[in-house]
Amino acid sequence: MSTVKNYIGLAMSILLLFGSCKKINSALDTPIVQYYKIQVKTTSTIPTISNLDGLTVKFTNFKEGIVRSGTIAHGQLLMDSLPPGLYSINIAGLRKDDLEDSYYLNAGVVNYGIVKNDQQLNLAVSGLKQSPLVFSQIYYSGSAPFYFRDQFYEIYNNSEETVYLDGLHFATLTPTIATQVLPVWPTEDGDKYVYGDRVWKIPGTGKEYPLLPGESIHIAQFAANHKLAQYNPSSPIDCSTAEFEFNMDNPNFPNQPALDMQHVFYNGNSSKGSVPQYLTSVFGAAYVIFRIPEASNWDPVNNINLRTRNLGTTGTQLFAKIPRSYLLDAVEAGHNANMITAKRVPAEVDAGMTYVGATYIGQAVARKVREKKEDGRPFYMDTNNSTDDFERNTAPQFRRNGEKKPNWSHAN
Amino acid sequence: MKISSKIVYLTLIAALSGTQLRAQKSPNSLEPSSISLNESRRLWQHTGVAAALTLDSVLHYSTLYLAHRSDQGDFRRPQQPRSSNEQTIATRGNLNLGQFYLEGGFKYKRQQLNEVDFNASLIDPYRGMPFLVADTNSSDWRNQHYTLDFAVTSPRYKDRWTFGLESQYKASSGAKQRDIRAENYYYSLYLSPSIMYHLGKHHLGTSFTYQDTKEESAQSLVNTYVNQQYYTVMGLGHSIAALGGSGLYNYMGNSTGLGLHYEYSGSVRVLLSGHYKWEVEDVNSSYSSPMPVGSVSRKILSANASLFKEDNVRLHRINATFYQRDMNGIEYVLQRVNREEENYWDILSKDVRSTYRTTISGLNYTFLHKKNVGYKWKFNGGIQYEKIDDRYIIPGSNKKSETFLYQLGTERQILLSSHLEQGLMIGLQTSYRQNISANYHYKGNFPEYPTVTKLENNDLAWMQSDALCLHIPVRYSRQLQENKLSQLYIQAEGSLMKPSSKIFDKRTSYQVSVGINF
Repeated sequence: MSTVKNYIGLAMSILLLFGSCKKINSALDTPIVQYYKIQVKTTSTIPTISNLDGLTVKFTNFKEGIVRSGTIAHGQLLMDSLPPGLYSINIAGLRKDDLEDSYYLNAGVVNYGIVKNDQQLNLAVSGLKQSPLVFSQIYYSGSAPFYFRDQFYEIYNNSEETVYLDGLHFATLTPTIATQVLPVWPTEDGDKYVYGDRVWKIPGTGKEYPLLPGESIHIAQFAANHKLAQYNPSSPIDCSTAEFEFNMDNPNFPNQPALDMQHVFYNGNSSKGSVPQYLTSVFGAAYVIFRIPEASNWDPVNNINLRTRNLGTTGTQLFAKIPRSYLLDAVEAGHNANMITAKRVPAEVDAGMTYVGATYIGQAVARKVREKKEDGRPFYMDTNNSTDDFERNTAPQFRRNGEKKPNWSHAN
Repeated sequence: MKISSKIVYLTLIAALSGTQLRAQKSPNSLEPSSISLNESRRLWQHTGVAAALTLDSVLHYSTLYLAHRSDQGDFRRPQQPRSSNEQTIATRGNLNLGQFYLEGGFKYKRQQLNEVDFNASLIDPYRGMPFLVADTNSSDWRNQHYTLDFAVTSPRYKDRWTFGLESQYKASSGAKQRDIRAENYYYSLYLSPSIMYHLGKHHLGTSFTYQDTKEESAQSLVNTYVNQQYYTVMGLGHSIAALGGSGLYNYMGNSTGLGLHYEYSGSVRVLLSGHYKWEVEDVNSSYSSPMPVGSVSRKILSANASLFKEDNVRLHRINATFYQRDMNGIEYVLQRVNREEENYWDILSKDVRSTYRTTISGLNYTFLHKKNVGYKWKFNGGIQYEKIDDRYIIPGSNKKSETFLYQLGTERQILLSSHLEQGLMIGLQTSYRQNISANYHYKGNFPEYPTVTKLENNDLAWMQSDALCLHIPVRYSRQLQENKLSQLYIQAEGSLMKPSSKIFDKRTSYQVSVGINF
């Protein structure tokens, strides 16, 4: 009889196991997906512009490839039929104020979860600072089979004024490769900074390197002709005419005629460290150019308040705090469109992300031409949204749209 | 494994403490057709109702066999191999231990699968799990499978009650041989306690099932310079493109079920058996900071009705089966929380984004013309209807098909010589797969993805194909020694599957096995 009890006990135990399986109950109770609607309310931060009606609000769900847009009326927009997901929501458009001055208006959020019906989102629309200098082309993917020394960055004067490049800073932000596990920064920093992994600057005393409207420069990782046999004949680019290079003092890849970028910061030091090359991720990095205002003294090497470590890890590497107000242009590149969920750059400086979709494919991203000026120089699109502003998977080519060389370029 | 060991231990203790003795049914021959005849009598086999196993008239014997199988041909589903070979060693046996009936088996199978497409995370991509990693490199897989199972039936208590327990432990490993490499480990533990009440010719019972499964898949790149394009598949071609190749997927499933069973055992035996099962399987990426990829919930109804009649010359068996699986694909909206004190994935919402329904009904008839030992002729025929209705809800993609399968076969046992009971079996099994309708509509925003253009569309082409299959088994058997029961057999089988579609050519297979019954 005790055997019977054993079996009944075993059966009862298993029955209890069935009854307590919350995992099964939770899954069985999951609701069927439905469309949601959301209300976007807008306000203007520009005193002379109060009416935002007519501006376009764009909803992008990169994971599912959903792009929807609507027009603001009476300061708001009601968008329906959106499946649940993370959305990038952007407002952009040209508007003249009461004084007939033109503004490029912009507002946005990235990775905004639309997960229930009748959500409400308030967006403050501000006027965009139009940068005179922009990244017009970035080639980061490297070339087959595994060659990465042919990376370069093209910077263009997109304005009507001469810009002096002396002291223009270039940095890649951390994380150096797009990841959804983002760093944790000091709470007191708020939204004031982006965080540089390595910072360089263009040398000069102030007026040594003028860049006229329509001129561009190239900064190469290694300013050599990469098509040569000793490098990589399958490389698509000859970087020997680049104006600047990131010289890391590697005797195997010796200094080239291009001017050396001046190293500013890496891990709390002004020295370059022992890494043999300045390789930015072949998946795509986040690149910024910025200028320190004349009255300011930005020195993250000597000012401990201008550097920090990632508080989300036990790592000790220090990163430079770059005030967002210093930024002239920022471009974020990642593996592909889906990596928008891993954005490192705030939406106000780059609401999107560009990509080439693979590594070592010898392809670049190039800014789209908005219009050609009467003298033939390009005027580039700069809506602070790299997804929209850049053509993807282009063949790398210096001055692809007829940009001019500065007269001080050694390549003349 | 601990649970399994405890149950084996409990069972053995219980068995040894039994007080009644059950008569053992000893065979008069272990010639393979006798074994096959014995299997035809076992209505309760594979029902998960161990408490009812002794209602069947069961021969007591053991068997051990080795087999080599090879398949090749382009008529295949995309995630099936273009060619494969596998080696199996298996043994089964049964006995009365005290008053308890006990049976069990062990099987080991090694597989070499060549040119598998769109799979970098599952050992069996067709096991009902839509969330997987699909890469674009055709690759070989090397898999190993271990199966250990047992069933124990108690003696009757108070002449009315029997209790039973069935258990199965499976462990598999798999390794994908090309970047993106995948190293997989799978295990499942299945338990099914059951109770039967006996009243004369009427037998009524219930069974409970519990299953715990886990599959871990670690993806990596050997050539770290070449990052691979891959897709996280969410179902019906909907997928998320990614670049890289390193990661970890963790599939964890639980299942519970309840069965009701009845047998009338008069001059005709009638078996009615139904089982309902609830399953949930979660898919997470990474252990250190688990990110939910998706979940599936499954409701599975299976029913079986058997009619069995046997006299000294003939055996008739009719089986009617019904199977319906309703599966929901659950997707999550996640937001990464990065804080100084904690990092985790916050689940903002979860919804059923896709539903999958598979319905299979079948009717089979088996006739055996018996002889003194085993049978002389066997005829079997059957028809099976399968309906698939899969939907991705938003956007509204769908995949549907209706297919009939007709089967007809015969086997002839020939006594070559009474010396050592040497016998030869020759058979012919024919089947015809007739697709009534099949279609696939993708309404998502990435129709150019290979998960749509190749994975799903090639699967549709396979579904749409009618196919004729011929299968010929030939077996030679003999006693190991004169006047001994033990039998040795060697069996060779060949198959040809010829589809009507112009896209596919054919699929062929052969199997050679050698075994002993003792």
